[in-house]
Amino acid sequence: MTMQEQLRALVERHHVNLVEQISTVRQLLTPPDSSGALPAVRVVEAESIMHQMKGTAGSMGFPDIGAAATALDETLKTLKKLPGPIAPAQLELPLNQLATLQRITESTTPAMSKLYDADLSSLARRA
Amino acid sequence: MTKELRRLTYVEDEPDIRSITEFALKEIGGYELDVCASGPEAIDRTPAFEPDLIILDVMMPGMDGIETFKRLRAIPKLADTPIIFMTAKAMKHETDRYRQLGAVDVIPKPFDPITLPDRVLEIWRQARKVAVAS
Repeated sequence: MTMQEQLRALVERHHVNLVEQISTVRQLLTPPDSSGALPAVRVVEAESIMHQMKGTAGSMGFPDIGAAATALDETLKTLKKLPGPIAPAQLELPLNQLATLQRITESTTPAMSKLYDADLSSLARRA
Repeated sequence: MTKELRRLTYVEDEPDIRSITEFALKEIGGYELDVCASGPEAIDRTPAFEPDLIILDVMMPGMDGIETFKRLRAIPKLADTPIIFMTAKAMKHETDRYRQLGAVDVIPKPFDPITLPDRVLEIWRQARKVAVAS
């Protein structure tokens, strides 16, 4: 496998993982019962995933996904500091941000990563 | 004789960022790399690997990067090994804290994997210069 092929495989796998992570965060941010309140622990878990995504998506050549993940991460960080369960009204902003993140991710293909067609021909291994 | 950067220990829990960083450092940079998925794994393996440089994530479940840093520093063999933090927690007050702890530099996430090996080499050379001068 060439370096380019290896890099493309990493980007493709990451793109699949992004879709799965967004689905997980959606489940976490969906209130478990009819009260509509969200247990605080769910926000902590969702924020942890978003924190990783903001660093990883950009490094994988998807800056728009990284920026959308950063916006949601910031909101979840603020919610994390609130005491007790999260009220339905407080979930409006993060759910909108999650919808934006999902829309951007679904309209992005691995080939749109800045790494997908990166010119690696001039990069010789030093070892 | 000039010592060159060859062996790196890299500590990161998140699989995707770990794989792209591993690709960058090994395939592009040509470095000999020991990849650890957690702080305890790094503490266990790094003394025997004897790296020239250590790259540490900050946010890790269980033992975080700060605690891992302190424990690695407490191992006599690794007391002077330069350590870089690679993190998405890179606000100024956070990077100041890492430097106060003794990190030689901080690489914020996201980063460009294509230029990462050169950035790491530059930090290593700078750290060597400071170490030789002092």
